[in-house]
Amino acid sequence: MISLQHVSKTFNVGKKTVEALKNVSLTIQKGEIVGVIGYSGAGKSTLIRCVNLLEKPTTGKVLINNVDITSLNKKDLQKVRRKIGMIFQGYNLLKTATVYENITIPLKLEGVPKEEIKKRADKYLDIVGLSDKHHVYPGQLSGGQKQRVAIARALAHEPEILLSDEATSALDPNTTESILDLLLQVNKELGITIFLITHELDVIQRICDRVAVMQNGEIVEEGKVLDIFSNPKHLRTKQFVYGEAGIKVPEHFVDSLPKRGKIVSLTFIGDSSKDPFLAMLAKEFDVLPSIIAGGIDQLKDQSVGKLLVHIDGETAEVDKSIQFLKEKNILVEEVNQ
Amino acid sequence: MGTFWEDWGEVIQEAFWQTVQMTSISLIISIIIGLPLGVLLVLTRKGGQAENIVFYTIMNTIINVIRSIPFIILLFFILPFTKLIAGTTIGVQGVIVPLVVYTAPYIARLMESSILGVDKGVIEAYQSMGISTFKIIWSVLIREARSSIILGLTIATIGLIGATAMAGLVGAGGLGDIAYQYGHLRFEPTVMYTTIFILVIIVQCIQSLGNVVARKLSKD
Repeated sequence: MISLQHVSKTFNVGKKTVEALKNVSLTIQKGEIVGVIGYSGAGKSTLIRCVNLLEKPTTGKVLINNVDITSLNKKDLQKVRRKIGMIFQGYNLLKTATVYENITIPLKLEGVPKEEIKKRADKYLDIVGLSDKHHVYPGQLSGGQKQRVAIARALAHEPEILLSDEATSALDPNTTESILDLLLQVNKELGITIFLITHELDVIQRICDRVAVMQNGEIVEEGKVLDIFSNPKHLRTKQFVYGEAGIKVPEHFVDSLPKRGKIVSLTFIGDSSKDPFLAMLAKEFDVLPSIIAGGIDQLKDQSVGKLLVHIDGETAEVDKSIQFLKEKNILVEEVNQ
Repeated sequence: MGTFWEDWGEVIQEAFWQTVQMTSISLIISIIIGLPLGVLLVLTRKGGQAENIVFYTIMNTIINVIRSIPFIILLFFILPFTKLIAGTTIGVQGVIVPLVVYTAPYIARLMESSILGVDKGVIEAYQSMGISTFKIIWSVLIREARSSIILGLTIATIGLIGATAMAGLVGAGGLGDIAYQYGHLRFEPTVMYTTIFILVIIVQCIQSLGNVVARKLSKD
């Protein structure tokens, strides 16, 4: 559906050239929700803006439904853009127009027939839950409501793709949650492919199927959200996964543990957490496991549990018990003390 | 009072209408020229939707030069141009050209700064929906800037009324002219005070009207 191929983008800032994107390739299938996560300045905003050519890549191709849109003329590009909705952190609504007009004006400008405009405006305002706000101005709405209007505006073009440029970053946690639910609903019920960028792990965790991690204009890791969560490989990914969802143990606490044995982090995916593994360890081997920290991350369709455990005992017994855990399909990683 | 109005009523009334005439005609023409010019300045500036540095620099310089010249000098400086365009250099018809030359660049500047105040994100959102720049100008730029545009036009109108006072120099009459001719030269202080009073009222009304309309349009 969307395929970015070897996309690079350089900006000239004064006399310096800044490489915002370095040879980035990413493919998004129809019906997927794919997220790009990164800190500010990682290039993710430039990346999403390349998808509808708000930013023209310096080199590389942008394929939408197998058409390279970087080679299209103005008219054809405008046609493609109508099939790609976009929502923004700053909502970008007309302040001087009512909620209803904010949805109908762009449709009018595109030459959609009058009857159809009214039908769509009613339908999509209903979907975003604002059918009672037709004649209200954006200035009187809350942030979450404004974003709902922006979503309705994007949906009213009946796009195949929805781009979300930090759409929840300015919202409080509860509102973020409700907007994410709405995006999930849009994806499921209308079958719209969603490509989003964010700096919040929470967003990725709750709605994305796949995720790409960006750093300094490059994608450093990419995969299914479950894989990235359960087994992050790149340092930046680990920072996101452990830093936010994570397990941080104060140093003095680690120091106070017996020097014998090992500290391991255990990752349970889905249903693998039903058996009482730690009790089994103590029974089967000559070890004493004790939990240091733990938590569960709820992903879109699965949960990932993490435990940080200290296994006290002779090295041989500890190794045997680690082997036992691995056989039970638990991801085991030794943590350096 | 009765005798004053009998003596001067007709003169003042005529002058009032001359001022209204000069102001409204030149204002309309100045808006027709200045508003698109302001939009062009925004579009062609560096980073604009239709960046064109050569055009922008030329327009920018011309506007700056005209805006540097006081109206009383401009009035005489462009006499040949006025003659060419209007066919005459005297009377209301002869003063419209210099008034427009004076006001249109001013309005262009005011429109430019109003439009620059429009949130870039909204423009971008409309571009992302596949809407042409031409349609964005009217439906986004001017629409979103309309409150600030009205305030700008209020300022321009008041400046224009000030400039019409000098129109008397080319025989176009107006309130400023009778204040000078009768009030000053013929030493009739009552005529002077009356015209000043009328001008103050006009300016007050225009400013208040501008404020009310701008507030109505802003919707913020």
